Amino acid sequence: MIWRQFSAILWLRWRIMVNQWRRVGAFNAWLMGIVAVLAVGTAIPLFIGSIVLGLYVIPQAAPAHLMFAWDGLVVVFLFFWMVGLITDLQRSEPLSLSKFMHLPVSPNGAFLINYFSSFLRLSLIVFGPIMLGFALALLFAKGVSQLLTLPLLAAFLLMATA
Amino acid sequence: MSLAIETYQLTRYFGDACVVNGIALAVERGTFYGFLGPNGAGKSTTIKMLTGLLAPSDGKIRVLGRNMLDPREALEAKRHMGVIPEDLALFDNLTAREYLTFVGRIHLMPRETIRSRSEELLSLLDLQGEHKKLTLEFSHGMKKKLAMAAALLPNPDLLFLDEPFEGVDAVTSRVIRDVLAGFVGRGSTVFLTSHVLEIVERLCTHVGIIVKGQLVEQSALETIRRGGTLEDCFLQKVGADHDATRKLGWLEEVAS
Repeated sequence: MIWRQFSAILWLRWRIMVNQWRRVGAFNAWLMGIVAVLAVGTAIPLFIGSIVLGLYVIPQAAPAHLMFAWDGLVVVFLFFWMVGLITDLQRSEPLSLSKFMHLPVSPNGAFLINYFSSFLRLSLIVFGPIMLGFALALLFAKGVSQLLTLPLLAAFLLMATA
Repeated sequence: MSLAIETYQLTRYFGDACVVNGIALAVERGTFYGFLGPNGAGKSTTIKMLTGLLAPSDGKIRVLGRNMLDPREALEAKRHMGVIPEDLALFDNLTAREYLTFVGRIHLMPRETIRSRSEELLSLLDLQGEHKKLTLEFSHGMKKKLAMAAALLPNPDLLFLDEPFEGVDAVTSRVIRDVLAGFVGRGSTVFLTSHVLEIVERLCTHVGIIVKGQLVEQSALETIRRGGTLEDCFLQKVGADHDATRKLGWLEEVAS
């Protein structure tokens, strides 16, 4: 897969999303645009904030409390992810592989790009950085043994989004 | 003359059903090849295998000299092919211009070339005035025209067209016929399936007839016609000449 083809598939997703917003109405398009900008704009502050907060809170927290914090993050993320998924299933246009197969893109590349570009959802843009920041804070506060959290987090996100 | 499409023992099963049974296509470069057959004969399945949309159960495929069963060679062949698939493979929530831009970008074409060719194609196929409409608002004929524009956009050496004239108005049909005739005239190849035998007879230089998954005829149009019409030959090959003359007695009774 060549970078220009990757950017073409990202652009395709973007155009489809914008046209869907426009179909519902100009107000909706504006509203969704503002929400998207806010979500992207808060991703980095959320990431840094969750590291800082984690470093401050984690050393004093009991293991059970840390577990509850993770559970809470996971449940809230899954709730918003499911809301987005159900909305997508009802409204959006699936980018099935069959629509790419006659074009000069490798099936494997098209699948991977399509899959990874599906990560561009508001729930993941907001909660991904929070969970990653929290995992890094855990690593800094509790030591190298917490490195295991990172592959676990990646596995959880891949499982939920697959 | 070198071959644009060559298959050997091309076979496809769906479960136990053999839909395409060991066909050996030989399509020379620069020819206008009509692939005919009754409904369910295996035309679309064959075209899907030739364009890499479907893997064959057995056999070999070479398109533009590349082995389509090798992913890298298939990718290289697809760079020189234009395809109108059976389901058109369009995106409902894109405008015509956006879809052509996407196809051009996937073909790694320069932006300026995409823009200028898109304008020309949309104008030629009378889609110019629909620049704000999404594809989901298009009629079937307009969708077909857009798929045709997308197939022509990268200026391919070989075009695969699955029923390109179905649902298209007479004016557009004429435009498409002229475009395709010019396309073949410069030495490129067209492989099309169609039920409209008059168009096939008018356009195609070579014809293949598939019946129940088997290639029963493949030759130059003149050789197949043998002085008669393509329709007569086609009906004879598919064994429908007898069925076609059957009559429904109750339908011919005089209405009271």
